[in-house]
Amino acid sequence: MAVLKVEDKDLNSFLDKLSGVINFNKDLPLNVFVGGGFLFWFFERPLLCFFEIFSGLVSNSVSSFKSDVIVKFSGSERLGNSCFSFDGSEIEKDARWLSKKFESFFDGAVGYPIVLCESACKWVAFESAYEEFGVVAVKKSEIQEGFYEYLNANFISMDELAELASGCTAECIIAKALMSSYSS
Amino acid sequence: MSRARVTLAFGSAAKGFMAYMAERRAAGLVGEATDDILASGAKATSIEFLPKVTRNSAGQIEANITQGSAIKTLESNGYKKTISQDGSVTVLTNGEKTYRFYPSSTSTGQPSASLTIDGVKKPTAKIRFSGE
Repeated sequence: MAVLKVEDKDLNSFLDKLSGVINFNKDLPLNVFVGGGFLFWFFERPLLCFFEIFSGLVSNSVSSFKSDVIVKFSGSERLGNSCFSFDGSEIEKDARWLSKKFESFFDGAVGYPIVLCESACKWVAFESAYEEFGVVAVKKSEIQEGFYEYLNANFISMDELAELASGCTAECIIAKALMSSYSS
Repeated sequence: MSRARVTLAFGSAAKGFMAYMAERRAAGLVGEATDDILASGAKATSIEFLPKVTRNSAGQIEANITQGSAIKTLESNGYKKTISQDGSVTVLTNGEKTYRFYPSSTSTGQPSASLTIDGVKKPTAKIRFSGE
């Protein structure tokens, strides 16, 4: 299997890196990302259950950035079975495995928020239990053309979010709240 | 309530036959699942099927029951309950169906649930609870 558990020193090192990008004291629809220089896309929860979108995200990230994708449950908590690294080589099989484990939150051992990111945090996705839409933040300085195109084709762009915000459905309320936090 | 209306929400003329059949099957299961949730018998309930909102949206369902009563009904129908480590999300699973019950959204104030079905590559339904 091309998925590895991230634990011990590697987990500590990853969480140190992640704390420089995400403020875990905040939650959506607020802007949870630290600093500026990001481009944002949005998605409907739970991302891990959108099998093709999740698989495509991992595959495109691995081919664009030449590095693994990390999935971290339970935010910044240092829990066993909460952090996994994907190299994308067997993504369909790995995505099915993760999706099955996510079905029970690893028998109740992990929870929200869920973070997905490139191993150096060049892009980071954040999914909350308290908001129906999640957010992907990509560092403008690190954006890769193929990955950019994948996000535009499969995720909700800022322009699409602005369109969603113009009505009066539940999605409009969510989109308005996210717009107020993420539009520059 | 009309299962046909759910099926329409997944209109998929441009998709492959297998994907179409999987969605047809999922649409049928949504009908069964909503029947499961509404089978409390104690109170009159109603559900409304809404159009999908984004290109990836699951079928949208508005149910005028509480999330708590939906969870109780599913448990009494044999669903196995698991709670996420942070306590925020309740998962109910029975065979190929899995419901994830989320707390109230910060922006809308409304609790919701997603329904996923084994073998279907995206969530089949999003349910929002408007009961009090």
